Amino acid sequence: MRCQEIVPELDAYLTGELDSVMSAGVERHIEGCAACRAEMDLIRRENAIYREYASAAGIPGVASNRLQSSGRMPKSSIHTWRWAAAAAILVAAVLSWRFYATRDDVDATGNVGNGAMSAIPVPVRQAVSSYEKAVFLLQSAYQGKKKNLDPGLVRELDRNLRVAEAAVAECKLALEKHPDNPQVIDFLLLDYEKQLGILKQITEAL
Amino acid sequence: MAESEADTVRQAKQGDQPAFDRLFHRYRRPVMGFLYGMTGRRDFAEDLLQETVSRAFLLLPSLREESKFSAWLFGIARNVAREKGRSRLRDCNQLDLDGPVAEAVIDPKPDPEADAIKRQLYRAIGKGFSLLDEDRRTALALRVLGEKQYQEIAEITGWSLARVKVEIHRARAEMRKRMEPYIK
Repeated sequence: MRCQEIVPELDAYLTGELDSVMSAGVERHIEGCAACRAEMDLIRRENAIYREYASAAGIPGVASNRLQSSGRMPKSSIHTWRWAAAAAILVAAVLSWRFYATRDDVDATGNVGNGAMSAIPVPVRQAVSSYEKAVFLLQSAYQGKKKNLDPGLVRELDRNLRVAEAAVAECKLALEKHPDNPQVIDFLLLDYEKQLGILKQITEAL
Repeated sequence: MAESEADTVRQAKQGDQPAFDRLFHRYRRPVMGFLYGMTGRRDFAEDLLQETVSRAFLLLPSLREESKFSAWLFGIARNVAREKGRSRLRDCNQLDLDGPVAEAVIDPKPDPEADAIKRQLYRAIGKGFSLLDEDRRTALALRVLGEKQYQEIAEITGWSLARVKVEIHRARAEMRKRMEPYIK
């Protein structure tokens, strides 16, 4: 094998990720090639520097090898994960509860009566349902106070909302076609967040 | 017998909170490392980490292959970094190429000169990451800060293994030019 073929494999060789044939080929080559040995040493050194770089930024001890299952974790990281999980649960639970009091077209399983959504995984449907409930609530609040706002401002707000609604609608169509695609799901949730963000700003200012 | 990751994922999917904690604790550091490499700002990376966890929590029950949890989680982190990263930087116009070094905490050293060189090196790395194109930055950040193997990076990005190798090789070469003056 030539140096050009060996060099891109050295990083994976160092971490034992090559298959036995390729690994043996690299070994044979570097025994007789000082340049590739030097390249391998440099990669090793750079890897150490990247680890130091992460540590210096306060990301403790990026592992030198593959991450192994660790024992006790620092309390701060426990709080980070718990906080995010709790926030997600809280948002969904609060929104669900509030919405059940305002709508009567929700069936016993929490679905919003959209047959086209049935192929979508249940948790995603639930997330969509929660977002739609929140949007509905905030939209209602906005519509109720709209007449008190400056007409120019209303036009501007409505325009922003229409853009956000169109993005959501587009993603929902894509989700119906690709119900398992995580990227489509991510984009849909992101668009819901944007829509909610606009509505929150409006209602907080009312 | 040690609990496998797939078992932990299965338990977490069924609403087992301690399993969820164990699972995400395991990945906090590498995901944070990856996000730091993508953004160059620790505070921003923390925000994106929170967003990643929130989305992962909502979507976890829909994960079909428990054994693919790692790639799935990093895939979410990657999407969050792409979406939020772009919009936030655009909104705030706050891409700070010197950010990483401004935030870097260097242990007190008896040698101020070495300390200064190290700061310059970290500044060069931060700037280097920010100037890589998105694919190279993603590949290298997953590799050296996210602790991912080549095969896993291929699964996260959807690229072939050959492409992953090429992206990382080229990213390393670009970064080396920036690091070289400080590591000789």
